[in-house]
Amino acid sequence: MSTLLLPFTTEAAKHLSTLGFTLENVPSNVVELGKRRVLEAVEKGVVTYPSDEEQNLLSYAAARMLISLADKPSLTRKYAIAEAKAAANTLTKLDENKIVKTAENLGLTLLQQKTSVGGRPYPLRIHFTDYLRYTEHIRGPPWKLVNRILTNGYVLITKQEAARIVSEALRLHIISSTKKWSKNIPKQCLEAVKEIKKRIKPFKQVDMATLRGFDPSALPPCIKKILSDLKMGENVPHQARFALTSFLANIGFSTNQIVELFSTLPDFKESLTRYQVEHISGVTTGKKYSPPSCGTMKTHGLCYQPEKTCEKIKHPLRFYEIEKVRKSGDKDGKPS
Amino acid sequence: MEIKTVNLLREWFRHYYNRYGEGLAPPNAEMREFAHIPFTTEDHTLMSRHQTLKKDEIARFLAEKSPRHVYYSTAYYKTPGAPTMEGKTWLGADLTFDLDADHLEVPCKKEHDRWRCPKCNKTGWGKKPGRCPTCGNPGLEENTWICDKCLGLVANETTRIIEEFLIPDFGFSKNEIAVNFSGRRGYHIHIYNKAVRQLDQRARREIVDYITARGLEPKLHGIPPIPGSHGPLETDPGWRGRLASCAKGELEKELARHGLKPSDDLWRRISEGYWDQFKGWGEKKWRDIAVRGSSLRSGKTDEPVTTDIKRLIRLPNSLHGGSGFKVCPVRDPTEFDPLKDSLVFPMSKTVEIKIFEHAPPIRIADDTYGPYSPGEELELPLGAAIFYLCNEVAEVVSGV
Repeated sequence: MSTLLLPFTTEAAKHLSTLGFTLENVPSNVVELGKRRVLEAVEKGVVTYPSDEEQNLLSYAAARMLISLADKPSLTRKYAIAEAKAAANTLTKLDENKIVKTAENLGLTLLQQKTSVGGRPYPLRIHFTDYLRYTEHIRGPPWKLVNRILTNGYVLITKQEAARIVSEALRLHIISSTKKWSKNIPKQCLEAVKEIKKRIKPFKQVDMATLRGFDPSALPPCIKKILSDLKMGENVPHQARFALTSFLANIGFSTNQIVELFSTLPDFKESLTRYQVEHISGVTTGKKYSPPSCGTMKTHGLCYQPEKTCEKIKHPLRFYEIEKVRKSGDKDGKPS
Repeated sequence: MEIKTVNLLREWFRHYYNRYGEGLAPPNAEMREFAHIPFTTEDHTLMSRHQTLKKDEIARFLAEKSPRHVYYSTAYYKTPGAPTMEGKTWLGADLTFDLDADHLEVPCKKEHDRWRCPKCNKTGWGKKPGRCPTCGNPGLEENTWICDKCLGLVANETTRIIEEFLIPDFGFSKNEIAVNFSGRRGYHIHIYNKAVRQLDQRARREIVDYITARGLEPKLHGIPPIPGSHGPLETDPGWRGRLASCAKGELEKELARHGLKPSDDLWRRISEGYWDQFKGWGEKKWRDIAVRGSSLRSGKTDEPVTTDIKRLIRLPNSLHGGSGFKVCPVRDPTEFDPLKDSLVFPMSKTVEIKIFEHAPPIRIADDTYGPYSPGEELELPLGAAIFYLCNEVAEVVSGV
């Protein structure tokens, strides 16, 4: 299989330039391809590579252009997640050599060194600093550094893991590369952007103020961070979803309110989310889960910029209780 | 602290900085924030922060101020003197580790650390409880002390973290690792490596979690072993190898307890990773071994110091105002004698001091001093006297 299939590589870019593709002369059919790619990514959370290689390159380039013209961070994030998923699928089918080359295109160095530990082959390794940077959003015990084989500065990885890491590098690459467009943007591009923006679901702002006694400013920093990631349309890991749901359920949020919060996720499925939220908040089972303690949050890498109050507590709910009392005291002018 | 004591300490600290202030600049001094706490007669003294110093200004600054404590930021900033963190523009930070007698279970704590309840005056030995056992007051005061035992344990721990984690697992070279005696209760490890400078708080927490074994799942390292598959080997890198060697040790002990000797065949199979040759342990036993092993072999380092990317840390070669000892660069902590090698004040001069708090015994250089009780007046060699004065258990009676 050719690496051309991966539309973000330098080979792909070179090939594209031989086709004479520029913003000013982009044909309408290519814009249409790009638009379809963006919409599929944003609405369904996936990107299906066109079977024709050249079409794949063109639609990727056009999609990137439209995304950058739209200049909407939540849109870019959703799009990037879908592209990363598609890339991961293709990458796992490539041999190690190609994975290493693809990684290089994204500024990521992987070393090839066949090792086997416990009968498991690790054909590749990555410096632990890169590993930490590119797996920041991939959560779960198997990805935690302490559960990895770390030797001489390098983390041993399987081919599948390498594919996942490279796709994460692609996601970050798409999110971080911003291009400023000046003028001469063809009409068909602007129209496509307009249509994309019209079709994306606006973030439903859950009216938190309607909940009596709820004080968003008293939320602990870890929960605030998950909420803001959700609002940005970031892909929030499973443990974070659980932490947020159980936390909100415990301070009196209804299932509906919580489900609405998740509606911005790229992989949002209402019925499934509702089922899970109901399970966690005890609607179906009668047993309400309590949110994870600070220790567990730390283990899952969800503890975020701890504040002064965090030093005194061992549980995020306690933070909320303390801050709520303190803040309501502030308002009434009572000593805290 | 009485004014007489403040004056004496300030003068002797100044004397030191006048003589040795040159060469106290940390790497990339102009990108660091500096901070200091002066000597004062007040109980609680505020830290002056957000200072900038060029490499060649540090010596003069220290001689002029003669501060009680001096710190610099492990972080590099674009504008280190800006009054807010946002204004400073963070550019990166060295990776640091803080090992302190407080974070180790040191048996000598019971012998030399005391706490006191300011409300009911109840006192006790050892680690301070969460609340006063008599009146329930949570705000207990603590008087910590040091001795050869706890400093030795911290030194061993420092060496272990370097030799078991930082070099073989993280791949740092010896010349990127600098170790300093903190001047009182422990050691600081500084890593000067470009690749780690940019790591954020989360990444640094992963590093601490690795060293402290937080979140370690034995299953992911092959424990309990799955029948028929390669289990962990002692020679495997990282935690997998450490857990295997713990399990092997436990097995040896267990067999010995039953008066058994492992057959050569069993040992050979185990060293090939086929643990299922040994059928004596159930899943729970294996898990217990992994938990015990990971707690035994983990490094005990203070998490916030490593994860805080805007941390202030003591300036190497400055003086610790809680002991009078030098924050001393150390080549090999196990060879280093903190109570002698970091002593900077002469022992040939003497000062008369009056003890006002119970002071446990301590060795300084080649002599042991104390225990002393409140009210005792003593004439001590300067280096020892400064230790008692800095620890705030004594005041000056007459100057030198």
